[in-house]
Amino acid sequence: MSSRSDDDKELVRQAQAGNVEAFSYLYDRHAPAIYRYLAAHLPDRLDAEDLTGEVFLRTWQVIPDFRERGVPFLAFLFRVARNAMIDYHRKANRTRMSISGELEAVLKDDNPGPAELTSSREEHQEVLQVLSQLHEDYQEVLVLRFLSELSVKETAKVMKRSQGSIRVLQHRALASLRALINDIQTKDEL
Amino acid sequence: MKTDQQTTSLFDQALDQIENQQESIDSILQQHPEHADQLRTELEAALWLRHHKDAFSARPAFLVESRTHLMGSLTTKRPSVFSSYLKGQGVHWAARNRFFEVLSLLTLLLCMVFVGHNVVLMADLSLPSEPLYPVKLLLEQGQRAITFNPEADARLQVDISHQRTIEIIELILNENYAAIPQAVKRLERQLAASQIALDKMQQRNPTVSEILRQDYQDRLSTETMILSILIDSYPSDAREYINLALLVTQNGLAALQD
Repeated sequence: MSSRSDDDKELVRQAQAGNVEAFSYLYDRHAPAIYRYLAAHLPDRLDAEDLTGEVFLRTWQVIPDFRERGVPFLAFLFRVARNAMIDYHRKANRTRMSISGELEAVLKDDNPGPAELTSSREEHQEVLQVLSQLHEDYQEVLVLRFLSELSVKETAKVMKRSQGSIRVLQHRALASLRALINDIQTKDEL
Repeated sequence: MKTDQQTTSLFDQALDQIENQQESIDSILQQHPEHADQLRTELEAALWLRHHKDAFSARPAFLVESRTHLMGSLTTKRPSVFSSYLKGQGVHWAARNRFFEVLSLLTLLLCMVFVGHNVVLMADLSLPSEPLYPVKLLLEQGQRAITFNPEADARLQVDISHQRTIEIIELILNENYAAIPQAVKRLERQLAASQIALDKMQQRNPTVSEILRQDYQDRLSTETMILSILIDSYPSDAREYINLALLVTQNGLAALQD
């Protein structure tokens, strides 16, 4: 059985030769995970949408120079996403109001109703609120492992750490998260 | 005792089974009582995150719209075509880098050759008192330094003498009289050098020397005649300078005829 990385290899090779169709398959495969990663770091999901497109555009422009060298394409993609997010945070004049973004989303999207969207937005904000109380590395490992669903090996490549250190980090991050959830539940009960 | 890696595998497997509703947390903990505490904490936290995963999922409409938009942009923002071509040909990154280094070096060399060639051409057309004139003199010196054959050397000296006389005529025509005295000194030295070169040639090959001497004499006569015409047609303040040149060419002619 071929792994996700093996499946990507041929598509990457074709994309490097300028095949747009092959790159579109890579987009279909990885855009949802990249979006989840970005949405877990940004309060406004519209910004996560903009940045997802930006990540793939940047990747397309540098893909001719991509060489695996132990870093699979997926990890490379997440590194591009990470850099795009850093650039995003550096831009000081990001003043788009969250509420106008939500309205735009309601107008654009026929699928979820306004009530559903609001509920989803609240849930998103709630999780972000919890994650933001964790150490930065803990947030990163939890988002990559449980929201973007990367393996330990892939997470290690994205975070440029050994697999052993990712396991330890995951263990500590989950313990910290559980403690935070307990606190929230205790407060809710009171 | 399980290793870290085995514990993580056990955890991943348990998480999948619970998410697929094949097992519950309690049933998993019963199967692995030795890790019950750790597994419970981690599974509950991970399941809490997974439970909220949908709040982080992209809108299906966004994925479709973004894909369409992206595919449109890709055709206009293509990666470097040449780089892609080399990649397509199986040329590796390091080799491509070397290729571009060599290409840059060649381009630089070509630019230098082009600029150098233009400087030489412009210097060749320059007159005394012009910025490129020292380059012209330097090039002549270089040419003399690498001319070892006496016949070629004699021809070169005659050509340079002719060049110096023409320069003086052009200075007169351009009414740049101030540069004439210096140019006349150069002509005087050059005529002497030509005379020496022809004398050396005379000892080696009298026939060829005679042909060269005759040619040189004809050219110098013509130039002297031009100077004679100019001296009559220019105002009196210019005549002094023209006369300087005329005297030198006449002396040169006399030396040749001796």
